[in-house]
Amino acid sequence: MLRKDQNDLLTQTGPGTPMGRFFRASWTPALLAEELPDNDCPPVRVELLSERLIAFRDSKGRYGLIDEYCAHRRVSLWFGRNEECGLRCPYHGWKYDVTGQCVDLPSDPDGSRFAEKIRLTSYPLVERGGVLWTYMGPADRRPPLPEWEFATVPAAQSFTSKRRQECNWLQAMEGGIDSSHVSFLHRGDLNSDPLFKGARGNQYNLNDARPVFEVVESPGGLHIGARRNAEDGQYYWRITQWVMPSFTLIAPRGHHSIHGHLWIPIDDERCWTWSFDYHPTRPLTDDEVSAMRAGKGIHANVAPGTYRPLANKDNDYLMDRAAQKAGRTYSGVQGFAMQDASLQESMGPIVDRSRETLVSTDSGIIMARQRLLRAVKAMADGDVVPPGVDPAHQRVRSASVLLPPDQPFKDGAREALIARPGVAPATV
Amino acid sequence: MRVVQLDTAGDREVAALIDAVPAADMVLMVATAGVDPPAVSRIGLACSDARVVTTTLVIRGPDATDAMLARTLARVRPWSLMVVVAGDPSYLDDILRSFR
Repeated sequence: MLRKDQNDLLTQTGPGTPMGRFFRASWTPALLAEELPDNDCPPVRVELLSERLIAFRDSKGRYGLIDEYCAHRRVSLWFGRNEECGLRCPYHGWKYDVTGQCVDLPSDPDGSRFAEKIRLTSYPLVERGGVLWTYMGPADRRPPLPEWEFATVPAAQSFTSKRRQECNWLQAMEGGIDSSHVSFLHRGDLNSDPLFKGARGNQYNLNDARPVFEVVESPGGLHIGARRNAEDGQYYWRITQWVMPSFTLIAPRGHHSIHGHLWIPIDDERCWTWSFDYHPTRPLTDDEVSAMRAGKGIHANVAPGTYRPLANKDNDYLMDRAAQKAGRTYSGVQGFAMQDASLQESMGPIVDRSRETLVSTDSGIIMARQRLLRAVKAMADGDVVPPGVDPAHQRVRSASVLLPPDQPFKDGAREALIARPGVAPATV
Repeated sequence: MRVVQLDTAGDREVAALIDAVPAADMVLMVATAGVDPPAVSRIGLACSDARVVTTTLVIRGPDATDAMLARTLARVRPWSLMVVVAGDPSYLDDILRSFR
């Protein structure tokens, strides 16, 4: 459990908050590149870390992420005309370039330089791996571009989706590092989902519903190892990476792609769940990509434009009690993504962690919270770069391996936990 | 919850802990990397017989080598449902406060 002040510290991410400052220290996914497909295409509203912004792509293909509201009378620039290298407010014609600089103020006389004094808040927006990333921290602290492997492999080897989640980022992220729920909540899908089935490791999951966990600090966050019995006295380890503040990478299964998430706050009661699948050494097949687009695996079926899942709290996540009773799904909700999201949203917009009853298998979550609290405090106390910003912390892999019983997983899988271009993942 | 420092626990303390196991919700064992605590198997067996959950926190100090950590993990792992390896002993207080 956490005290209220600790819970507030980790869940509040708006401007000026300590956890907000933590998120702003790194590049953050803001949009899918497909949302700004062409030069001068319509602008898109972006809400991140409790800031309301507008993203657009100008006539020369440059991306901009600026304050949503015109400096004049606070009209939303979503109504803006994207033309001739700028976004023009339709109310009185004020125009801004991708840096937020006002470049035309039609009501002023020719030769007036008043527009030069008008500049909206703006953040850089760059494309990497089919995602448009932004950096919302101090300009003089801008880190190198993200090095997450899913964003740096060739495009054919990676697929990324996003969905809106109606709860605070932290309770969503904690689901991503909680391996113990897989044997229950996702039980019905391990052998049926096309992006999970067929792996030898699945049988270890199904045969051993009480894995033993080891949680080990890593430079960027934690390694979370789940250990199950395998044949010949060996252990089957599934090793998840968690890199602060909200990146997770799940251990691969068989020949399938590796998947993971980033959870990015929209505000304190909503977040974006970014989900990716990639393979380090081969293109994704057409069947795999089709399945991902169809909401299989960790992806969800979402409404175009809003990215709100089609199964949501307004329709009780399309709950199917017959499927629940028949064992086709454990909770009655279809699909990995919404099985997680439905339960996480049911905790309330911001779960009250003072009322939890944690048990031993929650030690990974406990350690993650403590790592975050320490990192946030260290940033507040001094001029430090938090874990997760260093590109070396981002060049990581997850792994599933078989090891002898006396070998720590961090030793046995040491090389497998580092992302190396062209090197196949360690998987069972 | 009962807590035992495996590095320093004497026979009397271990015996008292084992007596208390049946009434415990969980036993938290603490060890330093490099230590080979003989008491862990006695405590672990008592917890196993009583169906009491065990968690072990291994503190890896800055001078602890991989071999030292491996030795301690090999000793505690068979008796722990959950193992946490941390570099800072203060995590113990945090873990204790997290459990009711």
